[in-house]
Order: sequence, then C-alpha cells, then structure tokens
Amino acid sequence: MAKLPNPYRRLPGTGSGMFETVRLYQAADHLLQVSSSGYTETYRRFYFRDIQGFIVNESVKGRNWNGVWGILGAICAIAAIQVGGAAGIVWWGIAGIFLLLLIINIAGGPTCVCQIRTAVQTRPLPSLGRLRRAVKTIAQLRPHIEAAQGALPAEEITRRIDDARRGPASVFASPVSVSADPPAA
Amino acid sequence: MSSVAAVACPRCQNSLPGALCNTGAPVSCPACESTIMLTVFPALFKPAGPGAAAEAILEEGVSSCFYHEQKKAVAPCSACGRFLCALCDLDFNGRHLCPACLQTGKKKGQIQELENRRTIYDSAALSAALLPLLVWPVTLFTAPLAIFLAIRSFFCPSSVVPRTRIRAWVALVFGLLEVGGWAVAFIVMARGA
Repeated sequence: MAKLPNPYRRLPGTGSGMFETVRLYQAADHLLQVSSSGYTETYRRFYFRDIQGFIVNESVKGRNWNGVWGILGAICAIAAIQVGGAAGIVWWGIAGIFLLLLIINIAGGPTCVCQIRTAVQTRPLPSLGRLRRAVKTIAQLRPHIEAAQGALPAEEITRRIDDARRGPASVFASPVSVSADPPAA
Repeated sequence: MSSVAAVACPRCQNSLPGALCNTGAPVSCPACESTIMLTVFPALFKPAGPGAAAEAILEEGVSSCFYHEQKKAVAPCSACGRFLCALCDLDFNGRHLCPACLQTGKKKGQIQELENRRTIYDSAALSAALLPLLVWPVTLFTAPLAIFLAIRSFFCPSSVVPRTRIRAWVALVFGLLEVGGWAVAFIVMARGA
C-alpha cells in the first residue's frame, strides 16, 4: 500500500519554553503547534476557520540579549588583553564566541511576542519570536485563513472595528490565557 | 456583536482604530508608540452560535436518537452508525460522531486530530544509546534498553509531523555495538580467568 504523504509542512522558526522547543506546522485546514520535550510531543491545533487574529508586539528581549552578549564579550576581551600569552588566547576564543552570538542575535532582527487569538483562547506562538519572521509567516497564512473563513473587505473590517471601539469590550485587551490542558482539536 | 470586535494595543490596552489592522506591516500604537501588528479575520466578528437543541418526536415512524428515545434523529454516527439527535450529533471536521465514539477515538488514538500527546521512542532510544557513553560502565544496562526502545519505535506511531527513522537506526546500531562490546569483554575476562 502506498504511504500517505504527511499533511504537515514546517513553518520557519523555533521557539523555546521551559525545557521544551516549540515549532509550528501548517496543514490544509489548521496550524499545528508542536511542543517537544525530547521524548514527548504535545500538540495544539488552531483551525483556520476559528482563528480570529494574530497580535504581534515588538519586544525588548533581543536588545537585552545584545547587551548581555556584548558585555560578556567585552569582559572576556579585557581579560584577554590583561592576561596575555596562552591564557589570553583562550580568553580571546571565549570573547569570539560571545561576539558570534551577538552577531547572530543582531542578524535575526528585532524580537517580538506573537499571539494567536481564537474565540476560546489567546496563545503565544514562541516560534514566531522574530518580527521579520512573524510578519512573513502571517502573510503566508493569511490567504489560507481567508479562504476558510471568507474574505471580508478591508473597509468593512475597519468600519466594524471602529464601531466596536465605541463599545465597552475589547477582545485583544483580555489577558493571555495559558491553560494547563491542551485543547481539544 | 460589534462590541467583541474592538481591538486594543497589547501593551497599553488602548483601543486601536480599524485603520491599523491588517496593514501587513508593523505600525506604531498611537498611544504608547510601541511597534505592533494586528491581523484580524472575519471569525472575530462571528457571534457565538446558539447550542443545538434536540427536537422531540411528535409523530409515529420517525427514527429516534439512540441515546435519547424521545428525540428525533438527525444523522447517523459516522463511526458506529447509531442514530443521533441534534444534541448528540457532534460535528467533527465534517463527520458526524456520537459522544461515545468521539471519546473512544480519543482514548485509543484512532482520531489523529484529537491526539494531544505522543511519546517519541526513537529520541529516547538515541539518548539511551549515546548519553551513557559519557559514563561508559552504565552502558551495560542502557544498551539493551536502547535496543528495546529502538525496536519499539518501529512498531509505535511516531510524531504526527514529518520525521525520519534515522534516530532509531542509529540507536539500534550503537545499542548493538555496546552489547557486542560487553559480550567480547566478558568472553576475554572469562578466558583470562
């Protein structure tokens, strides 16, 4: 019997949580967030028909890491200059590692917190931790979600949001709910 | 309906104008000037639908629900074929399922869409084969475990996302090499004694 092709396609980006890595996959009708602890995988599905929106907010995490790598690199470089000789070479090597991490972090671009909103939950998507990547991935997913929900003209969306703006409730103002139990698909 | 569609800046919680949504690029919040990007879809404006209510049987000869005799059947279960009323008919990706089949499917892992967790035996096997090499005497116990886990991974469902069998094969090879190494060591020791 012919083997069925796997319906999932990996989306770029890997996020990390507490002792786990998080990746995002796209299927025909849903997004799959896979949290892997090494020996187990936990799945969370977001169906295109249920997705209400994505909220991306630039964070200072990237700048903070730049500071950390920069300071550590500078300390090691100073130590290398002070010590000199064979030990100095070791310190230069360590400083080089920190410099490399700094360059990688800068090359990744600004960081962000990306959240996905459905009617029942708002979940962070740690794999979309870079602003550039988040923008690109959302643009890539948008046609699929609109195909599942039916597209609404931009003017209509603007009008409805502006109408609601005068109302009391605000859907994206609610805090992020991180439930312990994975949701049913 | 419209009240739930308001969007706010995730940082300052100020309500944002509709013109800032779906721009396709990051914009600045007019209030706190943080960089944000809001993408909304029609589901945001969809009101929560009312729950299904089963219809009572009022005439003779109408099929009744398997679980509720007094209620009119609206569809058969796609898995077990039992007639279901509107209350018991669970729409699951276009399939009609009864609560019992849905629960059974979830428990036995028959419905992949309901699976929330899987054990990845090949990764465990690889760890059991390679990590103990750092403290090599431990491999006497971990090598058979690695072989067992590697073999098990061939018969158990792996990850739902694309994944090769390379980890299991590497674990199996290393596990067998370690067992072989110990066997040779014991034989040499026995002959020496």
